[in-house]
This record gives sequence, structure tokens and C-alpha cells, in this order.
Amino acid sequence: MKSYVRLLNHTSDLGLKVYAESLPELFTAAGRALMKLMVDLDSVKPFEQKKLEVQAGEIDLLFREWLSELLAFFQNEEFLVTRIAKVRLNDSQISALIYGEKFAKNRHKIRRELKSITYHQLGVKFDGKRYIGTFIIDV
Amino acid sequence: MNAESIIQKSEYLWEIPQAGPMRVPGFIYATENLMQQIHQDESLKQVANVAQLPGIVGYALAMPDIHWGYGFPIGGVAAMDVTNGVISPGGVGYDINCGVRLLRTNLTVDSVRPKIKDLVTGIFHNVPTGVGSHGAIKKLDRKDVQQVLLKGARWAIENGFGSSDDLNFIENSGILEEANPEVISERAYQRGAPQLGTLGSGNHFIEISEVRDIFDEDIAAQLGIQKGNVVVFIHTGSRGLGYQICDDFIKVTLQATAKYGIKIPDRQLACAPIQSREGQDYLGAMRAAANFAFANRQVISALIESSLLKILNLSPNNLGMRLVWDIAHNIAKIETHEFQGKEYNVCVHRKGATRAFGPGSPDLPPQYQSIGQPVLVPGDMGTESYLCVGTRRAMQVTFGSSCHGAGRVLSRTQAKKRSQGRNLYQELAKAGIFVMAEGRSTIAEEMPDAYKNVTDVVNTMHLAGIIKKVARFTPLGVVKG
Repeated sequence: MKSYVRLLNHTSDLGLKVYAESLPELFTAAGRALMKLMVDLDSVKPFEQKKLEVQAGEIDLLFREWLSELLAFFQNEEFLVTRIAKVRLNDSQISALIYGEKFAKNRHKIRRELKSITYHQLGVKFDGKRYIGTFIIDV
Repeated sequence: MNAESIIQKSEYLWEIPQAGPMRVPGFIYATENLMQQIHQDESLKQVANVAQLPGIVGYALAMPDIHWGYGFPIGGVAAMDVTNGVISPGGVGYDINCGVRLLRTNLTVDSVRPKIKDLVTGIFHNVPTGVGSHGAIKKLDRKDVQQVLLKGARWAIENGFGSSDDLNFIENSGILEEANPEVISERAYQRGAPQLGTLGSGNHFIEISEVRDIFDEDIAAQLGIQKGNVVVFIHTGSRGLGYQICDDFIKVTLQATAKYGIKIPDRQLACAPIQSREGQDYLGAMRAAANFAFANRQVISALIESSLLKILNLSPNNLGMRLVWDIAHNIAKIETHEFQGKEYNVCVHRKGATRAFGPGSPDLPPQYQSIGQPVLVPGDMGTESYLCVGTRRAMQVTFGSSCHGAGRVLSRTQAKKRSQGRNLYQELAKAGIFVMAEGRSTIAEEMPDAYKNVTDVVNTMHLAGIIKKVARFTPLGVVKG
């Protein structure tokens, strides 16, 4: 099974449900889906590499913190993420290599502003066959 | 939420009876028609969730523009007793002091309509718009940002954006006292520094509108609003600085929720006792972000005025642009309210709801003492907006609060689906509305079909006696983020 993403019908914000066979795949797919909501990923080139390490007390919070830090690359440094590699993960810690480039208004068409990853309906669970991650973004 | 458990109390008011962990009932202002729409999402469950928070006084309230948010519903109001209640960053939202301001002008619709494309284009280029927008004014250093956080709209005026008269016509005179810039993260400072005087994205907008109908001639005249004239609406907030402060303090209050043994049904309702250090720190940070938002709208007003003066080649006197009112609709404030014969000092959370103080309130400027506080209710970009005033009844039953807009009814994905195969720019142009937008998805997601009928929302509050309709506006030109 490849990972896949479903958009939730939340009235005011954007919600995603991400399905994957393993936790690293889930975190990677969720990260890419988040970026895709903001920008056309084909327009972003993996020119620069950065390392991202995130810690949190439990898996749900780690999931949110990971997504939040990916978003923070753009919010704080105007750096757009297009590729995520070498994901290492346990219940309270994740590290990965992030590839992307600095935002350029003439080349990157921004779809919408993403304000923050909320805690509403946030969760990571395993249904016996696959991992499912749910999160809602304030837009 | 089970529809059968909800009691209709009057033509415009419904009750979710107190049950289980709810400390108070939930009250919803809506017509039967609007209630049917409200039942389609999870917002009523969110009203019941808010009713569980410690120290809530009277009831958890919802306005007719209520829709599903995160934690609190959007269109929700909750007053917490200052001595034993809690404050929740999620009850204010990420865009702290997101709000609306209304500017009147001497311009007539006949003189503006032929030039609307030039005006919208001029404003679009003069006010930085869209994601990551910056550069309206020189990048502020840390000291400058601190001054903005402490002084609010006054900082903008001291730096040449508008006149000191404007302060009379901003909620709380454009400055929340006891802001505390010391408890704000470096990240929030960094995000705020380049963004003062920028519109942002999503549902934020600048709209040039025509005064279409006057419902109360006397009040409209006192507010400088005349049929056939042109006004400008601005809708934006505290930008990345506010989002970061909310994010930072949800983490703080999640820990506080556990520390103080507070039971919450949704993590997004994380809260802290108002009197605790965590609660006081959030209050100080939130007030600072609110001041940033007041300054932001003040700077944008000045940028718009300079655009109009240049394009129309007018003097400031001939343009006659003046601030009618500036209102916050994502905020928590310490206020004193009489409720069922008893006086309470409360922290009123308004999440997608506005203050609507009635005549005689000491918080209003002398010019508005006899008429009540202006309440601004923008609709979607294709229909209409309203100017109303607060009433004495609002002070008795809604902690001086009212609705803030039309309220979404379609999700963004549903809206995009419905917009497929349609040229929304052309549809709006046919209706005489010229729109420019920065974000690629903005127009589809913000299409008129995505919103409730704002007239139904406003009429509900008007007929319930919470606000009084003064004027109706229709859009001529819109700048979207």
C-alpha cells in the first residue's frame, strides 16, 4: 500500500487524514501533503538541505510538532520544503533531512496561507493494518 | 449534537440544556432556517464543550454566523468569572484581534464606478497582500515591535499613519492596557517585524463599497454615512505575530490544564485559571498581539488613503476619509457585566464575535454615547455588508456581543468543487464587482456560495434586539489576500 491523503470537510479550516504503512511514511506523507496545500511542489527545487529534529512527549503531539516545524521553515525563513528524507522516528522523537529552497514570488505560486496546525481532532492511530494521522490546519 | 435535545426558546433563540459535564446551558441565536444549516457541522457540540469550562457565567453563547471551528465554535462567546474562571488561547484564536474597520468618504458611487479598476489595482499594489507579504513600511527592529505591542494604533499615528482623532473611533481607543511584550517568544517577534501594514491571506480583504440602503437616518447621519456614497472596509488582524503567540500559549496552557487538574473535552480548549501566572502571561501576550493588529489596520488605512488621494487627484478634505469604527472579533477582554441582577467581573472570549455595547456605555466615545457602539458585519465578497449599532438588550443577554460576519457554510474543498468550470472573476464582474486576489485558491475558497446569507444573520440579531441595523453596503471592488 502506498501512502495516501484524504481532505476532510471542515467548515472553516482544512483537515487532512493521511494513511500509510509505517510511521516514517505517515510523517513524510503528512509533511508533503501539508506543503502541497500551500504551494505547487513541482515548482520548488531541492537546492538546499536542512536537518530537522523534533521532540514531544507523545506520538500525537510529535506529529503536530513535526508538521508545525515544517510550516515554520516557511513562516520564519521563507524556506519552502519539497522533499523529506532519512526519517528516523520513535514515539517521542523524529529527525529528518529536509530539502527545498527560498521562496521567490516570481517562481512559486502560493495557494493559500496556513496559519497553524491545531490540536482539534489531532491524532495518530494504527487500525491493525495501517497508520492513520489526522490534523486540522487553521487557514 | 442530537437535534431532539435542543429546545426552541423563541423565534430567534435555542437552548442546548445543561447535561453531563456542562456547567451551564448553551444558547444559540438563529432562525429555524439557519439552525438547519448549523446542524450540518459540529459547531453545536463545540458550544456544549465550551459550556464545560470552569468559571463560565450564565451560558455558552453562539451567534447566528456560528460554524465549526477548532475548540471554540466560530461565532462563540463565553464569559468567565475573573476570580475562578479560565482563559483559553483557543477561545480567542490564532489571528488575535482579527477585526474590521469601516472608513467613510465624500466620494459618490457615480464618480468611483468608472475608476474602480484603477482604485483596486492601486490599493492592491500599495498594500502588501498575500502569503509572506511584507514591505509596506521599513522592517521594524525589536525595539520598534515592542513599542507597537505597547502602544497599538497610537504607535502608527506617532509614525505618521493617520491622525490622533482616529483613536476615538477604535475599540478601546486602539490600545489594550497591560500588554506584556516580555512574555512573547523570539519567533513571534521575528514573524511580526516585517508584517506591519500587510493584509495577509485567506478571508482577509479590503473592500470599496457603495452605501445602498439606510435603515436609520439619524444614526447614519451621526456616523457620517450617506446613501450613494462610498466607504472602505478593511478586514485583517495580527498576522504571523498573533498566530505564533496563540501557538506558543496553547502549549503553555496544555501544561497548565494538567497542572491545575482542569478537565477539557478537546485539547484545543487548553486553558489556565485567569489568576494563574500562565493565565496572566497569556493575557499580557494576547493584549500585545491585539495592539499589533490595531496598529496594522491603522497603517493599512493610511496606505489606502494615500492610494485614493493619488489616483483620484484629490485633497484630503475633498476625499473626506474618516474612521467610523474599528472592531475586534477574535479577542478576550476583562469587562464588567450585570447578569440576572448580579454584577460580574468577567473575561469575555469573543471568537468570531464582536463587542456590541449599547448606548450609555462608559467605554464608548462621547460622539457615540447616545447611539451605541457601531457593529460591523461584512458579508462575502459578492453580496453585501452591514453597519449596525449595539443595544441595551445586548448588555443584558449577550455580555454586549453580536455576530461578526456571514459565517461559512461550505468547506473549502466543497467550495472549490462547486467553483469548477465557473469563472468567478467574470461572475463577480457581471455583478459590477472588480476583484483582485494574490492567492491562487482564494477566490474559489471564498466564493459567495461558501457563506451563509449575511442578511439572514444580521436580521436574526436585529429582530432579537441585540443590534440595530443602520446601513447596508454592496461591493464595487475587492482586494483579497
